[in-house]
Amino acid sequence: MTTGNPNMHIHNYGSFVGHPVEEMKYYKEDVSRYTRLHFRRANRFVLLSLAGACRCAHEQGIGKKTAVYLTTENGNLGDTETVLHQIFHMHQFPMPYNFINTMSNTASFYVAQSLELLGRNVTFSSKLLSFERGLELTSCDMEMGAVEEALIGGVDEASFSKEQFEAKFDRNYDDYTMVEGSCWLLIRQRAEGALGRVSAVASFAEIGNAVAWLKNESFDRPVKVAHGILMTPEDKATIGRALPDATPFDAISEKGYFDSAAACAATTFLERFNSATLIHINKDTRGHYALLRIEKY
Amino acid sequence: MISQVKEKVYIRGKAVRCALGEEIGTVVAAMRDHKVHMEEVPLSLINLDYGRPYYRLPVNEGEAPSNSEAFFYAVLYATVEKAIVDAQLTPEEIETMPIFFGSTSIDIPLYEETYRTASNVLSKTSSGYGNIANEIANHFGIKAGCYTFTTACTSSANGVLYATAMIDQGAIERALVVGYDLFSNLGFCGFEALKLIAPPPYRPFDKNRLGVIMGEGCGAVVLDRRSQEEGAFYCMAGANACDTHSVTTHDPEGHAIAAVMQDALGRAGVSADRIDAVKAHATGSYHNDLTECNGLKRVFGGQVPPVTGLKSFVGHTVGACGVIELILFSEAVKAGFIPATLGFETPDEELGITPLTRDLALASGTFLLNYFGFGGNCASLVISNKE
Repeated sequence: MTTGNPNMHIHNYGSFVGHPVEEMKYYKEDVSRYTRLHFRRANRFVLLSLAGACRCAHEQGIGKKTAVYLTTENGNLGDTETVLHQIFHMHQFPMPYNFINTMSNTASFYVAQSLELLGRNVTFSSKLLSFERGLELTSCDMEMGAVEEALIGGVDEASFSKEQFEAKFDRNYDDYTMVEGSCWLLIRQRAEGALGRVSAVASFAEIGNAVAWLKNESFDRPVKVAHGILMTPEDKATIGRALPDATPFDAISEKGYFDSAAACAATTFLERFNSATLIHINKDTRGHYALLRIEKY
Repeated sequence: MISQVKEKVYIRGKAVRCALGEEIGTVVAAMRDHKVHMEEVPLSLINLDYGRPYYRLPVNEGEAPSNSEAFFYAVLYATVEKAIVDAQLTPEEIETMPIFFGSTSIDIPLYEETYRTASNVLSKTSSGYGNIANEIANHFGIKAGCYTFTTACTSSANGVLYATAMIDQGAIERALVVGYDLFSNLGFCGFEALKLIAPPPYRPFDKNRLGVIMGEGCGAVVLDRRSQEEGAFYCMAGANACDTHSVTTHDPEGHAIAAVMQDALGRAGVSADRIDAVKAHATGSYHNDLTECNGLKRVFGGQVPPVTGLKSFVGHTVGACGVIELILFSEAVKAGFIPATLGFETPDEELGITPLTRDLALASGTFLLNYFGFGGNCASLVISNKE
């Protein structure tokens, strides 16, 4: 499937990526720079979401009908562990707000509440392709006229489990710096004032189809190519042959790894480059590919 | 500017497993007979000597225990398989069909038993929210995209909404939409901790309502531009928005909820006076019912069409209720009736809306379906089976 909505203009980006800090006060202080609301009961996932989204929306004059699409691989792990521990080991009812926060859509709620947004609000996932599929939903809503302005972000806590990481990705845990992050784009249908554009989101069941698609694309800016964590050396070589003039851009090495790495690659590209095109190719555990094309003016 | 849908998006195939059974005919017959299947689930895990009601799935002889991984996938795969068979899909149609999965608990029921003897299981072993949809794809040889919605009680309603929109836009030909929530201690104890669980009987919209009774179930629909079935239901449009009043309750005046209903009607190109009946979210909680009724009065004024709630038949199946209640409602209408709101006895003048107290004979029409949830999520769908 290819989504080529010509009206997904990027007006801003914002990200909060780094090594996890145990003290929640650190996150609350950061978020308090952008919103006057007090998030007394907010947890790490909520605060992470706010830190990225509020940076992205800051001084952008976003409208009340702005949609929020929060994409995540794992959602709220911390409070879910706490609640399961309370129930199964302490044999107690969970604290009400711990329980509420196990539903990860509370994070997109708090983003909307802090920015006073009444538009569409979706918490969404698609194994390893969450950000790309989330952009498909954004495109769908824009095409039907339901959304003119949207915040879309990828948010995930850090992976601390070496065992889980290596089982999931068949990669050496120690080769990566594990971080947590929240990376957001402000997308509008309006082109005026945009700094870039999401010009395509495409998905393919086989890499050959992705290559064929790339060969039909034309580029009038230098191309940077970034890859998702499951892309093999063979996959990268195949893409490299399809885009011989492109320059590699390794956002994972630059920023560290968390499960919303595609969103991080997008915001890092926008931060780093001018007058360039990003081609980000991601792969899921089924061997499906998602291709993201972003222009930076 | 609101753009209206261009295509009819039919329910080409459907299947459900809920407390009333696992064959649609059986489920509809039980609704007509006003039957329920509710159990008391003990709270012994919390060292309490009482229990709370829950609409559990009846476990068939020979099936794996209801708290096992085998049961989790057996229920899921059997329901999806039935929907695919009902839709008479060809192998190629199956292969190219995207999956829209909506759930509140997602994979939590798979991990809970392990927590009895271990800690931090989820963060060590969870495969992420998107994994269950991927497992469906792997099991049925589906090579198209997987979309997982985790928007609390609107999860699978949002799946229907986006699948309908993408089909209408021509981005996809058809879609499998699955709503699935099995019993989890996390959800059950969480609702009890919020003091939301009511004793039986379940009484949505009743003056003496005391809260929610939860349920579990799986619903699956195949949405397509075409249907072989005469009089098949089609999804016209829907809308979704956030009510930022509170993370647990909606604006009691019903402004946000009304705006979502009006948006859905506008996108469907249907005026409020053309709605033949409303399937309310009707959870039976004081706040939700009050908010929903205020929202309905804002949309319909003094001409509120017949309203009913279905949760007293199958419980509040949280994220799965979008698809499950879509199937229950549309199949009841195809059988010639809109079910009464079971358990309702005493009108509440504060609500100002009395739901159906008897089944309403009606075999076709255009209907508004409401879904609301924690985190301010609001979703409404417009469906019809009129030619």
